[in-house]
Amino acid sequence: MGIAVVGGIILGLFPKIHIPKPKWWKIGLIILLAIDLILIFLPNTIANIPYSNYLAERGISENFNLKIEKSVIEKIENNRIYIINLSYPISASKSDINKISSNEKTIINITFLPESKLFKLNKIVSNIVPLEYPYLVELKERVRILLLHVPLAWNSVVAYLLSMIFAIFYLRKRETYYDILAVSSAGIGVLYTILATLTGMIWAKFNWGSFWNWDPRETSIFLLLIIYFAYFALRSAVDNPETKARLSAVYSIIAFIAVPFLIFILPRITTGLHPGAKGEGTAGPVIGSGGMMNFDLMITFALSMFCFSLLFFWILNLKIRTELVTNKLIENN
Amino acid sequence: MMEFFENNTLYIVLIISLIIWIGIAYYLWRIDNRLKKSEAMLIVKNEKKN
Repeated sequence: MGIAVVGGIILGLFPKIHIPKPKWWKIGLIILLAIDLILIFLPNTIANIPYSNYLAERGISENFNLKIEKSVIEKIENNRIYIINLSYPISASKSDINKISSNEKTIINITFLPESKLFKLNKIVSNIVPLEYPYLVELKERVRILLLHVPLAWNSVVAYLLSMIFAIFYLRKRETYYDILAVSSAGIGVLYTILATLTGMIWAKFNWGSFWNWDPRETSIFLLLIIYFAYFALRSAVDNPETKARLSAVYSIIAFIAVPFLIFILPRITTGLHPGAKGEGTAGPVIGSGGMMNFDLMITFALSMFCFSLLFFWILNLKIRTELVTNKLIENN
Repeated sequence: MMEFFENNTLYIVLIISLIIWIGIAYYLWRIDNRLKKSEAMLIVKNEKKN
């Protein structure tokens, strides 16, 4: 994970922040992000046997996938498959039973029927990608949001950090170049924050019932957006380019002090709906008891972090170069 | 028709995401190429001035 994050930043800054990216770099990113999208959407969400028992004990009648291996089949009787450690048998047609018993591993879609006290086999599921994501009744297919929303939010923090670093450089050297870097970085940071908020809002609509709930995480991201909108308001309010750059550099440094508090600390010390909040219990098999993410999810998550970092640096590179060209044209005229 | 969409939701979402990504990538690529041309023109102009 660390390699993906650090590698994304190092490769993103290659060859230099304002120098055009080489062709191989851009083609590589386009292919990698396409692979990342395939890995985000194609793998199945699969429950394990203890979680299937947990759902059955609570009488939850939902369609979900379960992977069964040939070795765990205890017996087959009266069109019912008995699985070792699975509390109730699975009822299936003869042809499906033949398919399951002939394959080493099969992914099946089942539903628990509380009145009959058995699982009903809906269909045999094909697995195109050799990755499987954990099934959690509170999240279902929505678990995939992690692979889009978190990299966007993380890269917005990187953007604000870079903006602060360039602001410090500007105050030390007083070169317009560093002001352009700082403002471009903050701009892309705001874009990524808006995208993270939008993806989160869509997820919240289907998970919590409404687009906006004033959850601590939502409130903190709203405050962060307001802080950086004020940064651009400040810049547009000052006409003198030097005063504008100096004031906004000081503001950028002060604004960044709020970023770790609003993104990493506040939503974790307060109770809320968002995963990771104090007392929030829906992390389940996504984040295990040891605090480790499911391994298959981790692979795609690392790739997503890497790709979204590279995309951020490409957009940043274009923005900086546009500003530099505009600046030169103004100087020439 | 609706049944097809219900059974293949993730494939449809994937195809739409890929189309959006290809669109964004093409747009960024074009901006990159145009910027390269503008940068080259600026360099030539500055050289002529000097």
